[in-house]
Amino acid sequence: MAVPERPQRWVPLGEGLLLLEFADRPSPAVTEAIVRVRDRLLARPFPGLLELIPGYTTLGLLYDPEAVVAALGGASNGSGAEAADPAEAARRLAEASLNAGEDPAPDGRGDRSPPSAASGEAPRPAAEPVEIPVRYDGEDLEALAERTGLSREDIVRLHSGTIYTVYMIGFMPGFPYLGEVPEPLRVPRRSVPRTRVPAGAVGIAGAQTGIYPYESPGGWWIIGHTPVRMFDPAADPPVRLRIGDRVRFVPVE
Amino acid sequence: MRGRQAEEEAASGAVPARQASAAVLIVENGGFFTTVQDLGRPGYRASGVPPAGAMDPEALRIANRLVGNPPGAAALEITLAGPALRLTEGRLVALMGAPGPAEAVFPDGRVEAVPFGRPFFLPSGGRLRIGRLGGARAYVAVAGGIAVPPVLGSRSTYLPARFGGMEGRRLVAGDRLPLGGGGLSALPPDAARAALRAWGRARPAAAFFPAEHAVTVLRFLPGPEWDWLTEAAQAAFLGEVFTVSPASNRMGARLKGPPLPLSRREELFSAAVDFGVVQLPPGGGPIVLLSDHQTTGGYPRIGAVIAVDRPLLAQLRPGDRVAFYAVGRPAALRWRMERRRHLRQLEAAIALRWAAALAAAGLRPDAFDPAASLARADAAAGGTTTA
Repeated sequence: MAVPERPQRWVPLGEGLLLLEFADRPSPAVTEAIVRVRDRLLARPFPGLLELIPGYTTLGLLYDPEAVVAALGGASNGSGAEAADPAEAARRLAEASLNAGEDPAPDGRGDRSPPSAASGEAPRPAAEPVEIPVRYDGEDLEALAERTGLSREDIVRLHSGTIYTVYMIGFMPGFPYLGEVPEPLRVPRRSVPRTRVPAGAVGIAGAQTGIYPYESPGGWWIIGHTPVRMFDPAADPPVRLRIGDRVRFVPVE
Repeated sequence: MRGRQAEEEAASGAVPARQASAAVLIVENGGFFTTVQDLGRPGYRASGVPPAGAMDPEALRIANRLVGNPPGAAALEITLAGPALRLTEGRLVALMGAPGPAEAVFPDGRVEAVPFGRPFFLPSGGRLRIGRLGGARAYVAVAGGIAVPPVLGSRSTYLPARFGGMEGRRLVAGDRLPLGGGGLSALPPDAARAALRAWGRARPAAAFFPAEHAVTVLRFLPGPEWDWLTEAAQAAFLGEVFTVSPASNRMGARLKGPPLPLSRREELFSAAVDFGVVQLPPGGGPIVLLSDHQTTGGYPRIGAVIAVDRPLLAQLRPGDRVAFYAVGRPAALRWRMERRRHLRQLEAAIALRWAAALAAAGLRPDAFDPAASLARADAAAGGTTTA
């Protein structure tokens, strides 16, 4: 599948959030593209840019609506504000940042040439996967074995035999959404969510697997537990995993 | 920066004696639901950390200005019914937000009603009791601010992950909250009383008290999945009245109302959301996201309440009625700029009134200027103490 280099759609949400949509479905390649665009915007932040928030197939740009409009010379003193759309201003500023981030092609604008290995945008070196030790003793292991027709050993082998990509962090501080779970292990989330899932619980739902950083309610199938702390507000950075990281679960007794 | 300074203030004796503070706010009764909040925790959304912070940041800013604090100092956010508090050191205090009955109980037993929107002095050993609010939320600011340790740059309480504020939870009887120093917290009691006499009875902040509405009208920007609603559902959303459910909290306001059928249902992958975004879980009622909202969401986003109406969202109580009115982004920006201008004017008016009151009481205003005193505290924390 072709790796999208640029967002395919720019979707405003409210006054201060612009979602850059890269694809219809998540994939490791889509995540790589999101990380690349995020890094370019971080290298050349535009005036008013507040935060960059990756999603499965999107990059969220949180911006100050007044600052982006002012940066384009509009609505500085009330006049001209009639027509100023902050989402449009944020898009223009973001596009300018992204274009400035490209090597200019000999004929002028670099954004017309198709992305290639020669464009200077070398793929990030494939780092060793982060290893997360897991005791496969989850309370849903039995039910999952029954549901999938797999043995407990098969479930452990399949889940720990895959290298996952961190597609995004969300739901709670430090909660990693990892993809993708091997086909035979995919089941819809539990019909009745648990009111209490402990911190460190490793769960699966559909094509995703994840780790609960805090005790919380949760609807995923719990297959194991890890002692690794996923989020520590006193640490810098506070998160154990970040978008784009590769992860392998290592069974422990 | 604010955080490091406070940590060093708390950790060392290297601050001038009048700014070093062992003062404590004692919680005698936590009220219905009271938390420590500031202007929130920006910069960590990509790590799944919500913004948190005051539901009504304007009311928090004004309360802080009324006691001479920087606008983002930590204060108490009260929900529905207020707490009972006691001070171990005399301080200026201000209440802002949805007014309710409040009284000061002085050490000699005298009881006096205290106003919202105007500073008052509570002496050492004095108590503050706040009753049922006329809305959902109000703020108690104390000169010097609430000096709990900052977490990821903010003192805001974030309950789901239990960090920030007072051990990441709501306040309960027996809690002892450290108070910061600097600014008007350094006013000796007699000087504070003299300055307040000069301040007079004016309540410049009263224009920012939330109004009572039979139906709260929320201005609304249609969002990416607005077109998924059937035409009838769009008409119902903009034409009918919704009721706030008791299941609402700081994460979101859950609304009950007419059914809102979707004509499309496609898989959505979780993406960034923000305060005010209106999600529509299939088969459920709309949810308006509030301060503690998750950083990402995967439900259809039918739109967003505009930023300028955030104080209205902050005041919604279970059973309150709301309606939505569609507007455009340029208008939303225009109203936002207008509101900001009014807020800046109010903050300037409060600063001027303080300067005049301090001068009338024979005090040098610049000695109590928050910015100047913070700079002094910074210098002191750097080890060049002059105390």
